[in-house]
Amino acid sequence: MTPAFRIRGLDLGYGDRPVVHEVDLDVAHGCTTVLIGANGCGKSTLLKGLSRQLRPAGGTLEADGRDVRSWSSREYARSVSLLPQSPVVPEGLTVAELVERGRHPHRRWWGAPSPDDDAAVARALELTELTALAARPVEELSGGQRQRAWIALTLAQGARTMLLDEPTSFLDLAHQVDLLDMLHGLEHPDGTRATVVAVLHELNLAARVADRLVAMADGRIVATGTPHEVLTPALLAEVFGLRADVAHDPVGGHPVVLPRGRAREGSSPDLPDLPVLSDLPDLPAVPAAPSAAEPARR
Amino acid sequence: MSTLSPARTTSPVPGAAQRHRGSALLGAVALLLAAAAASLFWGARSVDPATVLAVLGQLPAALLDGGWSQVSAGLGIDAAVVHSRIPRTFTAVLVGAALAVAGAGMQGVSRNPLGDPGLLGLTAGAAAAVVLGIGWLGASAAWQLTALALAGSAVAAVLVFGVSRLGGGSPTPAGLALSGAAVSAGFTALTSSAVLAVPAVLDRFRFWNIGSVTRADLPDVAAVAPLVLLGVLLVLGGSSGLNAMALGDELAHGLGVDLGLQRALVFVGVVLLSGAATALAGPIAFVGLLVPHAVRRLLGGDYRWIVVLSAVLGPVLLLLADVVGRVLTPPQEIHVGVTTVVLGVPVLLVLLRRGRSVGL
Repeated sequence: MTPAFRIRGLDLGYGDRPVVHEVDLDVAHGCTTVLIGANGCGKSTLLKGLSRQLRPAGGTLEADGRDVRSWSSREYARSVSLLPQSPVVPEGLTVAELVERGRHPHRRWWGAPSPDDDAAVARALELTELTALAARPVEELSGGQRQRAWIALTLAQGARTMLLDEPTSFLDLAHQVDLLDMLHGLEHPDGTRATVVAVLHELNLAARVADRLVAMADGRIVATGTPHEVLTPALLAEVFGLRADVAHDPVGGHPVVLPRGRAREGSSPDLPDLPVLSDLPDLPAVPAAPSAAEPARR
Repeated sequence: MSTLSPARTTSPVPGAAQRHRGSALLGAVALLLAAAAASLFWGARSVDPATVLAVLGQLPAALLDGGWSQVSAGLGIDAAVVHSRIPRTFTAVLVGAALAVAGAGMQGVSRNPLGDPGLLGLTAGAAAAVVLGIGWLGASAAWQLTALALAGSAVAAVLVFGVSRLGGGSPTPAGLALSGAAVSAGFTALTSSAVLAVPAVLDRFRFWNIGSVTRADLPDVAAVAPLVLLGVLLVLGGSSGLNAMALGDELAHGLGVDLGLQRALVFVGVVLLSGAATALAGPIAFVGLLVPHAVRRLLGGDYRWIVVLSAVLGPVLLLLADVVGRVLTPPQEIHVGVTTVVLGVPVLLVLLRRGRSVGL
């Protein structure tokens, strides 16, 4: 089967500042692929490349077997949808009107919504459990409801592949789990599973939702595979600079990351624990700390 | 947030919003006809309605016969008064539509609900060009002022776009607003210094600088009308893109919108509209701000409808303002630039109050 994205030697950057280097990756259809990595590692930039906001500076990037540069904007928007990190809430729109804007690539310039449009909007509202709120102004929604409305807009776009840039930021844990479970079970009207590529920060949620994890560091892909294959103590130290143990969830068997502290360059696993908050009241110790640390840095 | 009435949370009847908008459009058109009639029948001098009807009845035949100059010849004073009301009615319709649609386009492009042509320095550019033209080129004919105003708007637009791109990349709404403020201040300074330096310019400019729909004659109106039509069509053409852009540039791009093309379309339209309006009537503030904003408050944020209804309701505001200016202190008339603000401010305040109690 043609992969959703076939990426070979891809370079991406802003102006002459390269951010993503020589990335090779296949993203299969019907899978949830989650990009993880430390801040500034290039995962959002890679997503910008996949959504054609950045032109490849080198290498090839194919969507459904065709070079992304050969697609027209509307055609691409019908095939690949994007939910950016911080979309703007326009004034005076109801939830239904907002979701209907997702039909933009399917609609003529004017013209009433077609039955297809209505069906897609109704389905998106239903999947995101927003049908009862359809007539509410978007400004009045809570953070969780608002994020569901954006997801509904992306769903209504009817693209086979959905790109989501940190869809759970600003949500509490329960809403994060709720949203990701919904995304994981998403099916298109024809019964096939949706192809989702998401950037997520919360590793345990990523492990829970992802079929495949892609770990990035310094603009390169460090590891790809199932959550079990990728989330290992060695990789967490390399990618996040995080000292952590990986346990297994007794329910479902997902790997669970248990952070122990910040990994240091060349550190051994039995390094003493870093100061924790309870040390802070011990004020006289504070001035001493920098001088003690000083020789180590030099 | 907690003051929602239960009715608003029930699921909507499909198509209800469309019907609502359709009837709003009908109502707006009826308002426009009423306002145009008021503008023709009412004035500082009271004229028998029968005379007005008679003059209007002769108009098509006379225009076909020998053009506008033939019409005004050899008429009684009442008929002449009615004749003077015809071009100003057309002017108010054109200028009102141009300003309101330009404001709608500007609010969409700059993603700023307070946007109007003044925000991006377009009116300041037009005014500066007219002043320089009056002072140094000896421009006086209406078409010369029209051309100057358009050229001034265009220069301001190019400057604003150029300055906003200095940092590299495509212009952002914030960048446009900032460079618009800078360019606007520059042109205003230029205008002030020209007016102060050459006293002769001051007299004529002072007259021009008060917005008025009485200066333009029918040939001027006819010359500018195609520009206004083109401008409205351009903004309308970009309005679907504006809907997507309202969700943020990234999402609009994801929805398949060519941001650069759509912005350029709307921006060129706005330049044409504000240049044309300024040329016909001088700078008239507030129509471009108030009308699209009011439409958005009443009908929601679909730019296609905002543009269409602005094109109908802008003329209504300007016509009513003109009529009020005529009948308030007869036989003196108050210029429409003043009465627009007097009428518009209370409307805006009411809308803002309503908006606050409903929206937040």
